[in-house]
Amino acid sequence: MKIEKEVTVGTEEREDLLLTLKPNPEGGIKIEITGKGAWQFGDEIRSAVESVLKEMGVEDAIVEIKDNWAFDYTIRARTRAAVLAAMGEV
Amino acid sequence: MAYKLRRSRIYVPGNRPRMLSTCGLFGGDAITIDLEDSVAPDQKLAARWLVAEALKELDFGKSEITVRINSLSTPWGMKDLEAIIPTKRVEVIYLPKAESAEDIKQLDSVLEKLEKENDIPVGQTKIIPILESAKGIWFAYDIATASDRVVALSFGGEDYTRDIGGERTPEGTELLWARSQLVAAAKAAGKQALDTVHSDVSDLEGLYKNAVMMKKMGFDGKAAIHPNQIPVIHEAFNPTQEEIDYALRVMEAIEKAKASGSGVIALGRKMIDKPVAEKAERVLMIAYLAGMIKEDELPESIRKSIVKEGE
Repeated sequence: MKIEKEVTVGTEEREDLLLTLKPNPEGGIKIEITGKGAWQFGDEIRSAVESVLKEMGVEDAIVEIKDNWAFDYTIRARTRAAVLAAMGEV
Repeated sequence: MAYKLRRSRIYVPGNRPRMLSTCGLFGGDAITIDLEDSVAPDQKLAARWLVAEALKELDFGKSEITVRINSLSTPWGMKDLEAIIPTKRVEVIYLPKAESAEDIKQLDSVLEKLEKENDIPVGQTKIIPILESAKGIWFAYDIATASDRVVALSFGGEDYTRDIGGERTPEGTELLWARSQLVAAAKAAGKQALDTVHSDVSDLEGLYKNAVMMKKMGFDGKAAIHPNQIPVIHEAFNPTQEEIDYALRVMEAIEKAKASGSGVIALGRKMIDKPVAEKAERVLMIAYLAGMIKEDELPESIRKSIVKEGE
């Protein structure tokens, strides 16, 4: 599945993250992680995002994350919500 | 008598990860994760999935796990249920703006379908309707008896006041009839009655006074919007030492009368009739569940009825 619409979910509050999902004209998945937990947990964040995108069948997207020490469940939840929002769910 | 302690429940906004991850430490008898009023319309989707993932992952301590969904007449209510019920963690659904038996029956049938699809025993998920309109209060008994899943009625004072065109006052006169009607309807149906929030979080003294009055009116508990309110609500709804002592004397008199084969039970010069005996049992059960008395201090008849976790 291709992401065709840009959406942002989450917040910059502690234990949360701001996640922007965008179309990727070049194809494939590109994940950019910044924010407080990025230097320490970047790999874990990336892996949580990738697993949700894979589960939901997303093959082309840019994911920009600004992390503020989000737990794993929050990363998964924000990713899932972003994909569903891009698909037009309310 | 099986009794579930529901003195306090704390509202936790469903779109705030930090509050979700700490609310198990607040010590409330229940946590009400909120998908309704504390979540803006454009955040409903994000909150729903955050709550679903949190339910799968987080430990909420000993608190009963409850979720306030959006009304089923909104675009979100059904989706809320479809996301959270499969987690198998939700013990109670709070249904806002309940106004008729049909509202409850509709929720009941959705829950039955989702329970079957997710290998959850049918009927396990309970319902607590929130009555927060004149119509909801008017049909309180019909709502309370619409499904066996309904375990309590809960009152929403702010919306009710707006709905009747009244005005909130510190003494709460505008809520008096609604509260009385809700308690009578709940108790007539054999359910618990739970009171509305005390909105001024800095006014713990006012909260205590109000909660003591609500206990006297027959309520079993009250909602909280700040962790500081929980111990105050517990103190107000816990039995007093005098109530516990009296209940123990009542139960002792009953057991003595039974042992001697006497049909008439009296404590001093006062007759003990069924309501007095039932109140004594309830007081002792609450005292036990609240950790105020030990199991071996309870009369045998009550000890036998305690349902231990996992049984």
